[in-house]
Amino acid sequence: MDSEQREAERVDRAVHALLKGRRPRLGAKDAASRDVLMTAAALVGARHPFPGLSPDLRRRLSRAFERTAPGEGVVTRRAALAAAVTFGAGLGGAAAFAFLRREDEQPSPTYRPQVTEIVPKEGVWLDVGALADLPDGQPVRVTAGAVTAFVIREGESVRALSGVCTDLPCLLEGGADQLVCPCHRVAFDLQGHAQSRYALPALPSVRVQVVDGRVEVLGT
Amino acid sequence: MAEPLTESQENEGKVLALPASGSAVERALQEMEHVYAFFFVRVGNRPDAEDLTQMVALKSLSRLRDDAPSPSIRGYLFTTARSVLAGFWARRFGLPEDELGDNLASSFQSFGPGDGAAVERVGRILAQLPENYRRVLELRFLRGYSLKEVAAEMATTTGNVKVMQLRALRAAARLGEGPDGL
Repeated sequence: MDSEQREAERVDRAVHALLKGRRPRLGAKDAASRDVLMTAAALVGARHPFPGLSPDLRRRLSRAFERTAPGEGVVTRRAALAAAVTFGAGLGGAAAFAFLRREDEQPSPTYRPQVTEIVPKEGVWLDVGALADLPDGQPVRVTAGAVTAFVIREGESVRALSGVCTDLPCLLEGGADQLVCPCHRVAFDLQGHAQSRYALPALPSVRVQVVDGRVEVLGT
Repeated sequence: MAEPLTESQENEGKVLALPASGSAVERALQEMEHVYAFFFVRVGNRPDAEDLTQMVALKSLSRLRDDAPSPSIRGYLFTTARSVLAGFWARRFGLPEDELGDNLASSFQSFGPGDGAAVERVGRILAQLPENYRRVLELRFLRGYSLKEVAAEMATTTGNVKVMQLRALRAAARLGEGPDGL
């Protein structure tokens, strides 16, 4: 078999795969035939009917975008980067979007006692800012040592909710009228009640007080 | 490295009409259909086209957050898509991207909205080929004939068909290098 015949065999293997709807297996040996192979790919790509996005990928993309729609919470940069790194490692599309699939997982079935308020054993009142700086009715995330909380001003008084998701131990992110978990598709309203497909405990409250115009949270 | 966009490439973003209503998610999904089409007509198979579409989606998540997608977002998506495609071919062939220069330039040609223009372009290129080359490509690629069926139709052996196929693709590739190319 001469070199043209060998090349013809290799190219035909790639053409065969493409015509069957599969990825062609290409490598450095095919670099010299790249003009031909890219032309073959374009010929197959121009055929009718044109297969659109598969329903599975449409669903996964929808979920990814829903989490970035305004007011519905964000995919943290860390999560998106983690997905990109996974993808970059060549594990392919399925692995890259594995982080999106957590929403299909159920919470662990172990019993959790209902915690209604977070009261640290040796709690300390910590200043988290001026009352005047808090926008009315909007949750603001604050840290008081080990306690992360959302402080919500209502006129001249304030209340606070725990800033940790009651399902996965992720810090919630504040939206206009809800608190969203960046790890999966769970949100809590500003009363702390969960809005998810499965039952979740409500967010415990955190103790907060106003002293001389300063907001203090009971933390550590 | 990124070359300046041709006018047709810049217009690629503006030609496609956006729906007047629909949530931000629906609009983002529609953008990704266009990105997928861009990839499919160039890589010729769904698994690769979907992988590449996902890569663009990952890179564009924060941009697609905007409630009102604009032509600039479309331009961003296609710039990203071209960069992703260049990386894809470079990895597949084990070559640095600069060595792919000419291939990428023709690959980046804008086909315009939808895949109809791609089909027309293929037709134009095939029409310029010598008869036997045109026939083998038409039978194999457009009509989906197997090697055996092409050989029977052209009264030759499958071995000869493969060689003819290679030469036909080479000729088509050369024709495709111009501005109207594949």
